[in-house]
Amino acid sequence: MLTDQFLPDFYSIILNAVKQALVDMDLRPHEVILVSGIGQAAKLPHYLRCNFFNGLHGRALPVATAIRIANSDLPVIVIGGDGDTYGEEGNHFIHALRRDINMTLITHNNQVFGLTRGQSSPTTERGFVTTVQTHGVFLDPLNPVTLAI
Amino acid sequence: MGADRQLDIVGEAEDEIAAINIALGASYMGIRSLTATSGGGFSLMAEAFGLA
Repeated sequence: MLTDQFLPDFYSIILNAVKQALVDMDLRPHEVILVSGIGQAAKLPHYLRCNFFNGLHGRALPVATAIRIANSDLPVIVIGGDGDTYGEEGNHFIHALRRDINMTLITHNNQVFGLTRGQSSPTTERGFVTTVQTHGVFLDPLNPVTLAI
Repeated sequence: MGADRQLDIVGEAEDEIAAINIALGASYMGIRSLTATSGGGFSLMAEAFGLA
């Protein structure tokens, strides 16, 4: 298992917050499950010693929905990035909101696809220049919180 | 399922990709799960089928 000293600081902030929340909730490793897809953020469960399901790109929410229905005593935490959650997972995101399943979704929104080296995501601001969007992003960003509300 | 057995939970997913991932999640929790599809639906399930 890797320790914090090998991780960049920006990553550790969310990781440490999740760790602290689990400690504050007095949950033992087998009393919680993390579900994630693919991406830098989706690797977070690898740095914890607890149950987790690391599935496919943008498919964490359907798995988490089923886990929560199958075992309603188990707190479910879904971890993903903005590309993973609002891009590939966009449809599942909408329907997870409709189903209103009792679970926690934590999205690391850095406004790029990090694992594939910084392409624009659905939340990238207009004008942001990337290696693909060399003249800047020309679409308005999605506001996921507005969508959720 | 035989005539004397019944399904405990039946759900309709938003699409085939969700359907097979929901079946996978339930299976991971130790629940016997089933999903059915045909034709183009199975094409959508192809990636997650590798995880099943």
